[in-house]
Amino acid sequence: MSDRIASLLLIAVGAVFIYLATQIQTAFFSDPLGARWVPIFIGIFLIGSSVALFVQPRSTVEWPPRDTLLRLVLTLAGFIAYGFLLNPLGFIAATTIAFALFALQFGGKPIRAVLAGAIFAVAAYLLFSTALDLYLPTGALFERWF
Amino acid sequence: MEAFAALLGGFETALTLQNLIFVFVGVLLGTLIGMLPGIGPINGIAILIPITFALDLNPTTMLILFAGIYYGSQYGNSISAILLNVPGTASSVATTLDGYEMAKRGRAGPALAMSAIASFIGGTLSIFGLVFLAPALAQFAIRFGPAEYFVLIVFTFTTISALTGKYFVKGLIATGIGLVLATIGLDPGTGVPRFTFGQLPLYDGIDFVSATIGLFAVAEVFQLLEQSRVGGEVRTKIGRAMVSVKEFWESFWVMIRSALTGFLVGTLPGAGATIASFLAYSNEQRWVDKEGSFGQGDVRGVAAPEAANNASVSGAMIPLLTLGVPGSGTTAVMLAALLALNLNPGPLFIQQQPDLFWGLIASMYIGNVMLLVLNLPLVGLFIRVLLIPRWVLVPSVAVIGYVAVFSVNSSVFDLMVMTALGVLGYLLRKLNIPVAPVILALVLGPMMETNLRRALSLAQGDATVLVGSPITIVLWIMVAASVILPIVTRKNPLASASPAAESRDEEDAPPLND
Repeated sequence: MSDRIASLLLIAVGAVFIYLATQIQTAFFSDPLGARWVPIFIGIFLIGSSVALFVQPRSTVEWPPRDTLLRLVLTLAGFIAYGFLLNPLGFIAATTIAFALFALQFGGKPIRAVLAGAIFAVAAYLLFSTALDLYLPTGALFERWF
Repeated sequence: MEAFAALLGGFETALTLQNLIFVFVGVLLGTLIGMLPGIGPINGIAILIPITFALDLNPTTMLILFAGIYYGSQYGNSISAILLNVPGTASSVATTLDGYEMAKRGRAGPALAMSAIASFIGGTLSIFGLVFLAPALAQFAIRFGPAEYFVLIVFTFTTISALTGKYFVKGLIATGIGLVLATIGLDPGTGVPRFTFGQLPLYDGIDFVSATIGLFAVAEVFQLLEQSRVGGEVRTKIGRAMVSVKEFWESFWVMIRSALTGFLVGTLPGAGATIASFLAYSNEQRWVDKEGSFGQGDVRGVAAPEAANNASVSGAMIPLLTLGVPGSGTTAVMLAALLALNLNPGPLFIQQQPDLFWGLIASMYIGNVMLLVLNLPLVGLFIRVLLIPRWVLVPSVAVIGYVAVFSVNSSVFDLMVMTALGVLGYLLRKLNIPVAPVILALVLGPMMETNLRRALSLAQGDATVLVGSPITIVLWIMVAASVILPIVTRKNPLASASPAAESRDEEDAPPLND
């Protein structure tokens, strides 16, 4: 059943894709094929394979129960929040929080998780930012002190 | 022969104490950087370039250092591919297919060891190939025009869709999804924005690192979380740290053939290593996989791509050194370094700078040996990574993934793309749609399109150019074969040989209601 739903979704995606492809602007100077055709072919290809899947679904899917789904959504929220907090809070603070959150999800105890997060965040900062000279944000909040 | 004498001269250059030290340092640093999930050879070299320039070495030594870093990070990628299911570069994706399965079954040691050995054999064979065949191969590579490239990439897609995962249709869908993602960005031919919805960061398309970390690392986090709550904690076991003699001999011809494939494909400027590793994997699956064990942790499934992608490294050096055209992204970085040092690779390079050329070749060989010597003993250490408790390991991998993605553009947008692809990757895994073709299509899709349009441009719209040369015809036949064979041999060969596989195979099951 999931296969069928997925294939319907993919057919819809393919259709939208083809429609959007027809809206691509044509440049004045263009190669013989142009910018539109390959996406259109890809869309057709996707729709074709999805129809084949719809006609004969291949496997069943075990979706996780509600509470696990909730955890997954929470983790997803954590990922998103981590990304948005990087610049305001800076790498070290944001990472500590994110690390602790993820560790909790995987069974770590709260205090240990926060501690591990802090250690890891500092270590990572030293390795990547100081030693390897990559850019990691120091955080808008802390910028005044540096 | 003269080439051999020159090679010996090269060894003389390479075997000085200073150069040996730098090969060692390069391989070590490369391995360490490559081990970090998401950081591939290109990032590795790019990160280490400022340090190497600060050391102010002579050109030969610097090139030797780069070669060491390149080899090292190629191997380091296999480590994160096998232990964590996060490939650092597209050519390591094929390694994840069996490597991670082996790690899950407690055979991470043999996987890592086989990876080192296969890399060594692949690299060694191809270096000899380089010595004796460089000019001839340059000729072969020249015959590959855009039309030939186009068909080659189509062949790679069909072959991989047929062989990854259990269902051909799902492999095709995965390729389709990847191709959809690949078209996002500015059109390579005309510069027109496609599917960017006005978002400026999307103009460059979806970045490879975001896609890899998202589809592999983030999706893995979701999947592990689900498993630990639903399926019960999977106790990771660590077995021995070395391949058995039996496994080695079983894989011997696999490695030789894959090295050959890798070397030939690597000479084609472009995505040599990626195509090479996947073609080798699928070829070997066709040749030797009688029980359908590829994809379930067959050690030969690790040997094939590893031998091929290392062989392709030397192959990729050929266009760089003989034609001045980089054979891969990493050799492009090397080209930049060479130019910065005022050296000009090209047809006259071998004549004008024989010491440099042969010294480099010799040190590549030494780098190969160094890799084996350095890493085989360390395999025991590397697999201990799996013993780190999950609540530490998973967040660490996630954070490093964030750093890797962020280091590309310092962009939060990239992180969001990564997260979205993580959700997609999780859904794909639940639906039994293989993820490898998605990333492969993302990497090779633009190249396929560019070559198609270039071929048509050069032929001024005449589509017969696509079947114009013997190479294209042969490749089209191979494409047809790779599509028809799986459909014709629908009766799954797994069914009779292995009962466990049979229970998973539901292709012949009655219509499902859920």
